[in-house]
Parts: sequence; structure tokens; C-alpha cells
Amino acid sequence: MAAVTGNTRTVMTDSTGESQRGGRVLAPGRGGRSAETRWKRHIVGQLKHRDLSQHAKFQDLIRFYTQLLDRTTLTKGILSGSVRRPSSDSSISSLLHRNNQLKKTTGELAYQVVQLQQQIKIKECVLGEQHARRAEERRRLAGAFDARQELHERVEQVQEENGGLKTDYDALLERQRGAETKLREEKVRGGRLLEDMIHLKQQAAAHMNSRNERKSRAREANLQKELQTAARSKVTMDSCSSAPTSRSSSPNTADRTESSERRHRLFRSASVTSPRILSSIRELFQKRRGHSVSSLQEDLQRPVGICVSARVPERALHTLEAHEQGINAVRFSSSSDLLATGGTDRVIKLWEIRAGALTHRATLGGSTEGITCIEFDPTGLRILAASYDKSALLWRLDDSVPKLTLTGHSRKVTAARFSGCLHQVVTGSADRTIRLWDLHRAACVRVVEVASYCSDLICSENCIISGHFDSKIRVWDTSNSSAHKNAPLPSLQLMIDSSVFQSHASIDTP
Amino acid sequence: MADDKDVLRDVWFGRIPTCFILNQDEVTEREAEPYYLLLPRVSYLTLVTDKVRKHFHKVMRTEDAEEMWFEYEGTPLKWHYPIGVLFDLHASNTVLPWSITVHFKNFPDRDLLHCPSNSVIEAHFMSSIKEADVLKHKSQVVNDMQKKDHKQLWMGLQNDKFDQFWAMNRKLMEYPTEEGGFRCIPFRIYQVTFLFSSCV
Repeated sequence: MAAVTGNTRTVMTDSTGESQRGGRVLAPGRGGRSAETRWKRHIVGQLKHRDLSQHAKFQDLIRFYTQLLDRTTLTKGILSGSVRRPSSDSSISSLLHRNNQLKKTTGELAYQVVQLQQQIKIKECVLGEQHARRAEERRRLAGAFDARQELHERVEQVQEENGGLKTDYDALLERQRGAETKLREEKVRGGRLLEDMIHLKQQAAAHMNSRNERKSRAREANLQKELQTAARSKVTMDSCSSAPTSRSSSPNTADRTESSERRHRLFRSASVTSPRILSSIRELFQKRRGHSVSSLQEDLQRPVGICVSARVPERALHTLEAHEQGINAVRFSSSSDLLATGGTDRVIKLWEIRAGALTHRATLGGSTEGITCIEFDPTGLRILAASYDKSALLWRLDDSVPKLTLTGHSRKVTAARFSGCLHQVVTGSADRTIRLWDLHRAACVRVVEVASYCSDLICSENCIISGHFDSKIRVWDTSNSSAHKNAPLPSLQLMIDSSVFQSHASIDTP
Repeated sequence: MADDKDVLRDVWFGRIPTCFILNQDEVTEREAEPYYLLLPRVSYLTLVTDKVRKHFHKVMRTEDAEEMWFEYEGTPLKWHYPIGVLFDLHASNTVLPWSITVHFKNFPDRDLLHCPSNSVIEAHFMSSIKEADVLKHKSQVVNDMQKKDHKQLWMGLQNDKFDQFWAMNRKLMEYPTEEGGFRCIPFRIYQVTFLFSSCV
């Protein structure tokens, strides 16, 4: 099989169907690729060898030989050309022909040269343009470099300035910190000074208290002595004495106690209820006479506790369930025989004070929301109340229905007071206004805008003082004749930590 | 076939250096110098020896020039054998270049065929091709080829153009791949006797 394939190969390479080449050895193949490639390589090698030996050696030689032959024949022809005319003619003509050809070629070449020179010129122009452009670009680049340099310098400048600013800022910061520490120290000092002052004041107060105590004790001693002397001496009964005869103790002592009462009303025992202290204090300053029935009665029942120092009340004398819900306001009438209470249950109840107890006298209704503040008018015949229902109400003393309703506020009215004159009322409200009302017309005559909502206010002759939610007390001046023209100005502002509920006591002390 | 292209090229471009010497008996005006030539192995003598004839015609009188014939050491060389065959057959062991004697007279009619023109050579060549193809492809391929393709084959051989020849010859050398080869492979065996035979 392999031999046949070998034959195939050799014949295939010889397409014309010719014979095998002599001298070529066919490798008897064993089959398989290695055998195939081996004989192939063998054949290739043989071919190359043959080629080398037969062809390559002689190639150049034969070529040169033929060239030489041609040249010799040519020269022979030229040499013999002089003998034979036609051939020389032909050679001359051929030479002339060649000459013409050469001239043609030179002409063509000259034309080409001219063309090329033109192209050179064009290219040179282009080159010149490019040079010019390059120079321009270079200039622009230099300009850009300069600009960049400038910007660099500016950047440096700005950085320096920034550095300077920063140092200034640091210095200021240092100063500020120093100032802050100093402030703190000053505050601490101030606090300490304040404490010292308070301490001193406390000491002074204690000193005063001790002095007062000594004085009181001295007076008590005196009183005792006088009582004893009076007890020992005989005194005739006087018909104008007002002491009742049903008392157990002697009328003399009653008289005495009464007189001493009047002088020493301040020195009541600690068991006095707060309304009594208020009323007594008011009596002292306003020089009014109040009913002293109950006080006298107590003194007579307890002869021991006549003159003792005044103290803050510790226990209630009388507790009464007065309202169904919370009580917001309590007020004595100017004659201190009536107590008005008002609260969340929307009514005002009037109580008479009799024999140390409160008896219900009347109920004044008419408010639709809770009562915040009650005031009696100076005559004691009318009651003014401020209410959550954004109105202030005015009652005659025993009418259960309000006589007047002052509406105008937009939020709850927190305080309503009679101003200096009888027919003017001032109300403060949570809607950040204070209004002045005229009772004859039942209309609002002035509205004062304040910054914060008014929680309470009081009136005196020339001024209104209002306390506000923003921890400020504002004092309004109403002294000028027509309140329309002048805006009451705040003339004092105090900063206090918590909201202040004012009472008469704190205001009336000078 | 593609991977054998080197081999094909080597075969095609094989050359034999030959020296043509004019027979002394020929009448010449002057001494004829020998003419050296590299003959292609695949071609035919009468196809490639135009230059020889021109060379020798220069030294001869025109009336004496008859048909040229060649002989080597007494043996007339048959032109219808390829040159390579002739060389390997007669002179493979001799010193190169191969010396052929050129005759213009006394054409041996008994030994050689006349070759009046190239068309005779073409006819002989094409008949060989067809014979081979009968065996290879049952003459289908060569009959499917057009006249211009046959011409291309001949012109490729005549002008020594490897690519031109093989562009057409490739078709003749294709075989159906499932069989792994030609069923019948044509080859010829030459002997140095008068007769030659062709076998399958």
C-alpha cells in the first residue's frame, strides 16, 4: 500500500504522466505518517540535490556566456559593418534613432525636472506657513506661561494674606478666651460678693429680729407689769365700753385688751389665718376699721396668747369645700367682711366671714369658662372678674347675672383690675395685649401691645405694673390726663428667673 | 497538493545545462561556437530551441537550413519525449553540461517524427493529458474544461509559467477525498529501445 502511495506521489508530481525519474530511491514504506514524511523528505532532498548539481552551477555561467556571445556578435557586426554599407547605414540610422530617443527622454526628464521644481516651491511655501504658525504658537505659549506665572504669584500673595489673617484671628481668639476666663472669674466673684451681702443682710436681719424680740419681750414684760398693777387697782365701770357682758373674763381686761389690741394688733399669735393677717396689715396702712369681733373673742378665750410676734401661718384655721373644681382666685372685699372665690367651675361664690367661719352668701354665674382673677371695686359694691372665655365680667354685688361683659381679647384674660378711677378697668390677657376699658360705655378705649403674654397686673394711681411670661415686669405710666394720647411706656424692666406672681404686699412696700 | 507546492516548483523549474554543438559536417561560413542553454526538464526540445536555431542560422547559409534535429552520441533524440526524460535516459551519468549535437541535414525519418510547428507539439501534449485523465477521472474533468482552459495549460507550458499551468492542472489533480487517492494512476515507462509502451 505504501509503495503504491509512493508511486502515487511520484506520478502526481509529474502531471504529464511521464516516467519515474532514474536514480530515485523509493523508500519501501512501513505505513504511517513518519514513513510518509520520510520519503517525502527524501524526495525533496533528492530534488534539491539534482537542482543544485545541474541547474544552479551552470546558471550564471550560461548567462554570461550568452551575453558574451551577444556582445561578440554585436561587435563583429559593427566591425564588419564598415564593409557592408547597408548594415552601416542601418547602424547609423539606428544610432540616430537612438539619439532621437535620447533627446526625447532628456526633454521628458527636463519637463519632469520643471514640474518637480514647481512642487518644491509649493512645498517651501507650505513649509514657510508652518514655520510662521509655529512661531505664533510659540508666542502664545510664552504668553500662557507668563499668565500662569502671574497667577502663581497671586496665589502666593493670597496665601500670605491668609496667613496674616489667620495669625490675627488666633490672637483675637486668645484674647477672647482670656476675656472669657476673666468674665467667669468676675462672675464667681460677683456671686461670692452677693452671698456675702446676703449673709450680711441676714445677719442684720437676725440682729434686727433679736432686737425686735428683745423689745417685744420688754414690752410684754411692761404689759404684764401694767396688767398686774391694773388688776390690783380698782377701776370703775364705764357705760361706753363696748365689751359684751357674756364674756367670762373681767370687763377690765376686755377693755384693756381691746385698747392694747388696737395698739398692738401687729403682734398677733401665729395661729391667725392668712386673711386675718392681710386684713390686719391693710388696716395698719390704710387706717380702716375692721370688725374685731372674732379676734377679740379669741383673745378672751385664750388669755395667754395676747402679744406674741407675728409669724407666717402654719396651719389653717378653717377649711371649707368651697367649689367643685379648683379655685384660682380669692379676694377680700375692701370692707373685709366678704370673701369672693372663683375658679375653674365658672362661678364666683361670695362668703361672709362670721365667727371664724365662712358662710355662703351668693353665687355669681355668667362666665362660660373658668375664672382667673377677681377684684372688688373700691366701694365694695361691684365685683370684676377675668375669665378664660376671653372676657372680663362685672357684677353688682348680689346679682347673679353679670351687669357688663367686656369682650375684645383674643385669648384668656388673666387679670382684670380697676384702674385709678372708678370707671376704668385694665385687663391683661394671654393674647399679649393690655386693654383699658371704659365702664360707662362698656368699650375698650385703648389696646397696648406687649411682647409677651401678661399673666398678672396691678394698678395704682399713676401706673400699671404688669408681669409677663417673658420674665419681665413692665411698669406703665398713666399719669397724664388723657390716656388716649400717651402710650404707656415701660419704665422698668427686671430680669427674673421665673415668672412672678405679684401681690399687693410686694408692691406696696417701698 | 498545497503542501507539496515546493516539490511541484522544484520539479517544474528543474533545468539541465546543455551545450549545443553544430555538427562538423554542416557547411558553415565561419566557425560556429557552441551554444549553452539551460533547458527545462518538463518541456520539449523543439519548443525551447528557437534560440539555438537562430544562433546556428547566423553562421549558415539560409538555403542549407532544413529542419533541425538533435542527436546525442549517435542517438537521435526524439522531441516528443520531455527533455528531462531524454537526459535521464541517455546521459544521466555523464558530465554536465549535456552535449547535444545539432544537425540540419539528413533528417532521420525512421527514427524521428517531424515537427513542422508548435501546434504539433501542442496536439501531442494535449493528447497525453487526455489519456491521463481518462485513467484518473474517466475523462470527465478534461472534457468539462473549456477550450480556453486547455489553451491555458499549453501556454503555461510553452512560456514556462508555473502558476498559469498549475491553475488549470490543479483540477486535473484533484481526487475525491473519501477514496483517499486516485483509483487509477497513469504512468509511463520509457526504455532505451525503439519501442515504448504505456501501461496503467
